[in-house]
Amino acid sequence: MNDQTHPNGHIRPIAPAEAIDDVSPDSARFDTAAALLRLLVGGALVGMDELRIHLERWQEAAQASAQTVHQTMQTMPPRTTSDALRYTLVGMLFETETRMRRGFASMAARFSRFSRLSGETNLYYKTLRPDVYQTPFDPVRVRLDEMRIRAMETVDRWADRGWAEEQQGRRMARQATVGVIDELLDYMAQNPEVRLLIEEQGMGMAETAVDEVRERTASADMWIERIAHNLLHRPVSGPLTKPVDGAEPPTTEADAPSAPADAPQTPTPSRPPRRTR
Amino acid sequence: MDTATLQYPHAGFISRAIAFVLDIVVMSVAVLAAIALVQSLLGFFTLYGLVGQRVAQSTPFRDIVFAVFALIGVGIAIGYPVGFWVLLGQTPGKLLMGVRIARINGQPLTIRRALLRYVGYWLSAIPLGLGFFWVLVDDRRQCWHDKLAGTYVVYDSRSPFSRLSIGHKLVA
Repeated sequence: MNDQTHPNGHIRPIAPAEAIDDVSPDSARFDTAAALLRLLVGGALVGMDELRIHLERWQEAAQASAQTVHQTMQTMPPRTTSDALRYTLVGMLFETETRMRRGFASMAARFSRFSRLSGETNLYYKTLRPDVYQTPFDPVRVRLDEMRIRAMETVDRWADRGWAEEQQGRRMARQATVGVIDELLDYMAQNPEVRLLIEEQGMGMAETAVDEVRERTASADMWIERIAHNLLHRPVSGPLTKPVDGAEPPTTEADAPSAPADAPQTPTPSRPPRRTR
Repeated sequence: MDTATLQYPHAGFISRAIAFVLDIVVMSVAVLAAIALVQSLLGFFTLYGLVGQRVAQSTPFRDIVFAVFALIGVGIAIGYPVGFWVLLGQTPGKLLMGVRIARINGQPLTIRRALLRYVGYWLSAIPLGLGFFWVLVDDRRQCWHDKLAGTYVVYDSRSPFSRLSIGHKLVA
């Protein structure tokens, strides 16, 4: 059992399982409309949560950016008539939002004061004026009390149902999101074109990495050789890296390129420039 | 073949050393896998009574098993490099590093030459690996085993380095 404030203001212990059980008779059999409604509510709530989080982030980033801009630009740029109109409309929009929020806040404060006052009045009548209850209007009052109690019960039931449905809706929305993403990924993975693209990308990356390693080791070959030659006080042999006697790798390599016979015979460094893809 | 045209530049110490280490890793994995397979087979035979427990734990049987393991190890240690040299002209490690073995006369390696080169490996290793380090000071980047077998290790024609170098025509 857990104690929590009820959405309608009452404090009443609610067990989530119990609350869900209340709706389970309906949910025991699949109801498309109810499930859809649940999904819509859950999706809206989860979406709003996510949107709020993102909005907070974006606003912080925008404010940080605005501070930077303020430091560089102290005066407002010249504006045309349409700009002024647009600024006015936007300003009015935000002004209205602010006023509405203030209005709601003051209404809530008044309602709270009124509730407190009515509670105190009620207490006064109960303790100091018990004879008030002994009036000819008692049957009406009793009927009204019954109606009030029924209304409160109804509101409580709705709140319970709403709480349970909201939780279920949120779970459903999350499940739906994950499921849709999984299905989308599955579809993409099974799509031959997408798969081919991924494979090509993977192969390309692997080839690039291997080429990079080869180039670096080839450079390291030259570097360590130079060190060895310096240590032994031997002259660094130039770009002599050609096998003599026309040696070449096994002729089975049909794809082995050969140099053009008329290529210039200029001495070149034995290490090539970095290859760029 | 015009000797003035470029063939393939010789591979240096680092490329060859990394290729060697990669090959050692591959060979070790292969030996371990083979031993695990033999162990599994022995376990299977013992479990189903094809080989008795007493026999399995006897010294002669253990010696035989040890000999089998040793044979596997030696077989892989010799067969792996020699086989790849003869069949492909390069081991998987060399393939990855983009280098290959070439004979002086341009012909593919024969089994005899490959075995000779393999023996040269051990000769290079005996004086604290001096034969391997010889590549650092040799003008043609040959180790002792290369000299013994009449081979070079060159950058592979398919490696980017060689492809770029091809057009440069290195001087003789």
